[in-house]
Amino acid sequence: MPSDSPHDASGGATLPLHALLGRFESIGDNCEFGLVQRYGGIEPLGLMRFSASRIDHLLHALDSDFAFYGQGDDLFVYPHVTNYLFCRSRRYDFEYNTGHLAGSDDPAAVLKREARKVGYLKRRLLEDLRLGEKILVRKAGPQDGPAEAAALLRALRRHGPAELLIVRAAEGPASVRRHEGGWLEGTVARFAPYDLAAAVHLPPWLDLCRRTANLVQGRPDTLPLPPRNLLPPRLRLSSGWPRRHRPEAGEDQTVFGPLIDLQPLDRKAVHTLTCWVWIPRSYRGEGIAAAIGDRRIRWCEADLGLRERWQKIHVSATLPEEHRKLRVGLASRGRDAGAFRSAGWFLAESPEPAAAARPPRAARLLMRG
Amino acid sequence: MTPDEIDARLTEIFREVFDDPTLVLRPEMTARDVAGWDSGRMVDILMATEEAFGITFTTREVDALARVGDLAETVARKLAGG
Repeated sequence: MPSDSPHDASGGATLPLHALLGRFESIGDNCEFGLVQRYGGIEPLGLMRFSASRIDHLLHALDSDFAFYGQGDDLFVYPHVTNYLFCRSRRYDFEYNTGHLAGSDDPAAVLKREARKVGYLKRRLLEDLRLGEKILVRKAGPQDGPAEAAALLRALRRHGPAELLIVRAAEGPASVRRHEGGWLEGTVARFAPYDLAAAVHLPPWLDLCRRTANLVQGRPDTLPLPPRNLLPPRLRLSSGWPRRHRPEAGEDQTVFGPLIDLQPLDRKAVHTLTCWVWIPRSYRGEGIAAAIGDRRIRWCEADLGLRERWQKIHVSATLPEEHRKLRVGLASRGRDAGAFRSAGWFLAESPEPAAAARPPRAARLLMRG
Repeated sequence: MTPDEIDARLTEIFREVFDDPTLVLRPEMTARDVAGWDSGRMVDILMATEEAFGITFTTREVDALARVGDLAETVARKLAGG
């Protein structure tokens, strides 16, 4: 069984992304890093993974072994402005989204389940801290300085040999260094807004995780090569030229694209299909979207308001275990939609769309928009 | 407890967690194969499994669970004293 220790010999540049992200565990201050892990294709368990928490409250919880979290009447649920039921701790003021819509279930039943889950996840976190096998990630709040980081590291190490990564927003590429106080200090270009935490800017976080894993293992600060296009050769070679697609008349949906052999691919990895689409004024369909099976994680559909110009769309998804082959491509929805064009198809083992800021040159020249 | 008995009990657990009496488990099944199987439901599955079999999973054991088959094998190993 592979080691989960942050000091495992496999460096950040060589580990598959899903394995790399599994080395880390979020301890706040909100759900952003938890979403980084989701978009990277993993769903680890974590007491604080989707919780909002102030550092002073987290320190109190660590110093008290989270003893009061979820005990007695500590927890309560309430309808949030997002219309979901949120759960909050009276003692520690931790707050998280239960995932239940307000009105969808009896709040008392939700509360009972959340109390059990908190108890379970609390036990796991304390075990993780004892083992010291995860790199604990804490987003720094605006007021959190070296004194807070030092206090947090002390509080964590009371439980075990913790590695703590404090992350701040700073211009420039993602970076990490060992602070003289013993914790790791990392930077990403920007954080997602607190009221739009799902708007994660993913690439810097992934770079940060790789650099951190390299640093902890004492390896050179290298990043993996850019992903390669996994589409069949004939499609790769001709992808610069616009292709015309005519959805079948009378059909609610038509999918255009190759059958991909899934055998050589890493089923645990997130894959992203990117392409450029050109929607003429005559298109009458209800939507055009990139498609990789039906397990979408993130996606960007075509804007039907943008006509007679190229626009980039993508979908990130996980691959189904039970299929040997899978069709990937473009789905046009709506009967008698009419034709449209595409170019620059790129399928990669990556949670991010292909970086090209413009469609292929041949496509631009042939379809000026 | 035989492997078939473990599978039968796990099937009951999954059916209860997902409120689906028709759910059929396969060893190769993963979270991606069952709608709504997120980290929250995973906690429900783990707690119910620990309670049903009188075992406790370690963090390492949980992190190594990729498929339903892994869960069944881990339960069997722990029941056998491993």
